[in-house]
Amino acid sequence: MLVKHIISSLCLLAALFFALPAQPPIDLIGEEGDLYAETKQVNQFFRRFNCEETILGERLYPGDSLYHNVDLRKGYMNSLFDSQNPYMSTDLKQAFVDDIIFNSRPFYLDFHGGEWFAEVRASFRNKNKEETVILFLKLQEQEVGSKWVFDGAYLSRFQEVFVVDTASRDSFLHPLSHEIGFQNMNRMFRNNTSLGAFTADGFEADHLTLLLYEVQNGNLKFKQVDEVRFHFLQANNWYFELSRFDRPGFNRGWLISKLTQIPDDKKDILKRYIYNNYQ
Amino acid sequence: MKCNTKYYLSSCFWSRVVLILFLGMALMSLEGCKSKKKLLEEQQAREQAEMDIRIDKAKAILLKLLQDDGSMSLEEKERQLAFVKQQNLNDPEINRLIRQVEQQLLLERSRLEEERKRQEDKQSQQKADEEAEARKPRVANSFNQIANSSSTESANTLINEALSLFANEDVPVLIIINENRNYTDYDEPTTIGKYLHYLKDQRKNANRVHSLKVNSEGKITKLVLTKD
Amino acid sequence: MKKALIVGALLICFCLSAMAQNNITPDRKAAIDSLALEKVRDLSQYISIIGNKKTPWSEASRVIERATELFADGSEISVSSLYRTEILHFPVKKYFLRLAALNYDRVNITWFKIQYISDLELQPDGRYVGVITIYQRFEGIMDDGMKYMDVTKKDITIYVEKKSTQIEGEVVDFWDVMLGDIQVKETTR
Repeated sequence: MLVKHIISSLCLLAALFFALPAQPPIDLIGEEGDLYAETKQVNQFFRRFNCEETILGERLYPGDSLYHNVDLRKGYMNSLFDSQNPYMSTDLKQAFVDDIIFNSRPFYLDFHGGEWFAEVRASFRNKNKEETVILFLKLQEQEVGSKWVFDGAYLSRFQEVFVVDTASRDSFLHPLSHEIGFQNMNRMFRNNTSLGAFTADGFEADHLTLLLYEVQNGNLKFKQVDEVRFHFLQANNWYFELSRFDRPGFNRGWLISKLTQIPDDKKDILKRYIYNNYQ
Repeated sequence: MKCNTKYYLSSCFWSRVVLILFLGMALMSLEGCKSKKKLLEEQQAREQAEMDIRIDKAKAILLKLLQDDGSMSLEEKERQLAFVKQQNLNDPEINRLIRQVEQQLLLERSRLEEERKRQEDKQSQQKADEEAEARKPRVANSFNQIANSSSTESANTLINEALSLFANEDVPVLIIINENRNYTDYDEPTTIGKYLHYLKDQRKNANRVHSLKVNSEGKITKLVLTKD
Repeated sequence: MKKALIVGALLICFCLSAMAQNNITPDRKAAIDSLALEKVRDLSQYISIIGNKKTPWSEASRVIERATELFADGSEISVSSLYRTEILHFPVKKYFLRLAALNYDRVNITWFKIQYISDLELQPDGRYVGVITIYQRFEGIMDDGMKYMDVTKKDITIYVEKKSTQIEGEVVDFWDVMLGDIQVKETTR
C-alpha cells in the first residue's frame, strides 16, 4: 500500500517533470534519470502514450488510481515527442495532445488494433555490392497469438529497372504490332534496358515479390537490420512516425519523429505514399 | 344237557367278561394314547414359545446392532453377533438381519482399520516432518556456505558435503515462484546437483527452504524452495 | 453518476476479458517477470565467470553449458557499436566461447538500476514472448592495467511457456522461462 502511494507520488512528480522537458531535471531517481526517462521499448511507448504504467515502468491496470490518469498522461505525452525536431511545432503537438487526451472519447493506442506498421531498413549483399532494402511489416493476428509479416518492400535497383523512360521515342510497341504477330518484341527485349515504358499506365512492380525471388535464388543475401521506425495511423485524423533516438539527455529512446494532421479518408493514400515513398 | 347248558351259560359269561375286559383295556389304552399326544403337543408348544422368545431376543439384538447408537464397541458388537449366530435359529428374518449386521460390521471394521492406518501414517508423517524440519537449518546453512565460499575449490568441497544430506544428486528441487489459494507456480524443476553448483556460480542464496522429504535412511529425497 | 458506473463496469469487464484472453494475471505476470529477470542476472554472472582468465577451463566449460541452457535453441546475440556500422551476430555458445578466449584477468559487470520488462504477447506456437531491457557497464581488466569498457543496452527476448511434469507422482505446473535472441547495443552514457 505504502509502495503504491510512493509510486503514485513519484508519478505525479514525474508528470510535472516531463511536462517541462526543457527544465533542468529534478533528480528524481538518482544519476540514472536519463535511463528512466528514455522510452526504452516500443512497448513502453504504448504504455506511456496510454498512461498504463508508472514512472518506474510498473504496469498499471484498470482500477489503479493512475491508470489513464489525465495529468500523468499529459506529462508522458509531452515527453514522447522528439524535442529537437523543428518541423513539429508546439501548436501542432498541443493540438494532437488535446485531441487524444481531452476529447470526449480519449484515444488510446491498441497494440492489436492494426493501422500501424514497421519500416525496416536492412542491408543485403548482392555479390560484392551492398544494397539497402526497405521492408514494411505489419502485425498479423493468428488463430493463436500474432506475428509480424512482410507487407511490402522497396529496393532502388528494382525501381530503376521499371522506370518509364519518357525521353525515348521508340519505347513502345506500335499499334499495328499485332499485324506482324508482335515480332517487334524481339527488338524490344533485346535492346531495352528499361522495360517499364512498355507497361500499362498505373503498372507498379511488386518489389516484395522480386525481393523474395532474388533472395530465394541466392542473388541477394541478408546482412543486417540498420534502422527501424514505425508509422501510426490509428488516431482519428492524425498520422505520426515513431523513431529511435540514441543521444544523451532525457529526450531519448522511442519518440514521435513526425506528426501530421490528415483526414481518415486520406490515410490510404498516405500509406501508399510511405510504401512507395522512394519510387 | 343241563350241564351243557350250564357250561354253555358259563362259557358265554366268561366270553363276555373277556370281551368286556378287552374292551375295557382297549378303552383304557385309547385313553392313555390320548393323554400322551396331549403331553407331546404341550411340549412342542412350550418349545415353540421358547424359540419365539429366543428369536425375539435375537431380533432385538440384531436390530440394536443395526441401529448402532454408538454405545457398543466393535468387539462387543461382533461378540453379540456371534452369540446370535451360535443359536442357529434358522429363522429367515433372523438370517436376513444377520447378513445385514455382518455387512455393517465389515464396513465398520474396514473404516476402523483405515482410521488406524491413517493415524499411523499421520504419526509417521509427523515424525518424518519433524525429521525434515530438523534438517532445514542444516540445508539452509550449507546453501549459504556454498554461496558465500571464498573459492571454487572450497565451494566444491562444501557441495560434496551438502550432497551427503541427499539420497543422490538427482534429487528433485522445486522452486515456488508464486503461490496463492488457487495455484502454486514453480520455476522449471532442477536437481540438487545442479542447484548446488548454481549457488556456487551465482554466489547468492536467494531461495528459502520451504519443505523437504526424507527417506527411511534419513536422506533427503525431495526439496522445495521458495523465493525470498 | 449512472453513466460513470456503467463505464466503470464495462471497463472492469473489458479488463477481465482481456486478462482471461491473455491468461496471465497481474500477480502471475509479476512473478514471471521477476523469474525472467533473475535468469538475466544469472546470465550476467555466468558471463563474469566465463570471461575471467582465472576460471579453470573445466569450470568455464561447465558454466558455458549452464549459460547455454538458459537459452532457447538457435538463439543469437547481435552486437553493435557506436563506432561501427556493422552488426555482429553470434550463436550464444559461440559468443560464450569467444568471451572465454578473450582472457581478461578480471571481468566486472555493473548493472544500472533501471530495467524495463515488456508485456507478454502470445505468439502463434502458443508460447508467450516478452523483452527485458537492461543497461550494463562491462569492464574487462588486464593485469597490466589495460582496460576495455563499454556501456550497453541489452534487449533480451524471453519465451514463457506453462508446462507440467510429474515429480514423485505429484503433478507440478511450472513456467519454463527461456532466454532468446539478444540485441546488444552500445549506448551513449
